[in-house]
Amino acid sequence: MQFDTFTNALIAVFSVLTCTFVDVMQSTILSYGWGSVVYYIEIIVLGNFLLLNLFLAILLKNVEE
Amino acid sequence: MADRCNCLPKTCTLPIKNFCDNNTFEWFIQITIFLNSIALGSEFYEQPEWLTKIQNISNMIFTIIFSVEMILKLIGYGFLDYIRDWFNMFDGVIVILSWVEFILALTTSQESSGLSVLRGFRLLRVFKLVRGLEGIQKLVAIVLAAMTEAATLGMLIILFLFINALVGKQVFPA
Repeated sequence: MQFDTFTNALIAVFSVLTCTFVDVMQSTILSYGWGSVVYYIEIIVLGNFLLLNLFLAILLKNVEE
Repeated sequence: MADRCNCLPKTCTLPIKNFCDNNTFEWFIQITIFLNSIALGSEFYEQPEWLTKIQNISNMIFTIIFSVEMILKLIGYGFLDYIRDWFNMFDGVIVILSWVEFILALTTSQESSGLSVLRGFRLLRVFKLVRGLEGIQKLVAIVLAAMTEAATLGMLIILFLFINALVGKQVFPA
């Protein structure tokens, strides 16, 4: 359901990126098995932990100057 | 260049410029914005009829006050000097938008979706408060500077979203 169309997939990825991934993850685990967790770990580690925190890093660098 | 845009003589515009730079004038505008914020916040679902009336009247009064402020500053500083300040440009856009909304509300009797969007621009007036608060102004400048730096990062995040949406579509087909 979440990954049927491109726009739905974009919204689903965005919700995973903001760490509200439980609903999306649950439905994919139920229909595709536990292996799908890897996909969510990748998005959260790369996207949330790295990319989104880079925003904060840039902001803090500007505050210091 | 700046003089060419000023059709009025200096002797006429200088007192108005001094009036605009006046501390009391600034405070008056600041208090008006604050009152306007309260008026905007007082709206609620299923409000009584008289409150709607008061809000409409107060909105009209605030619009007129801000328009007068804009006109005074336009005359006092001249068009080019007025537009050089970003805050002035912001104020001007808000005033023009509220007049457009006002005219549209008069000409079209029924509620249309475009009108409610224009009414949403009213809320931008609250941001006018930023002019008087030095600390917030500094913070906004920092955030804006960071935003221009973070534009490439934003592009990267959009790319990340895009790629992962495609990957998700491949890995979890319908």
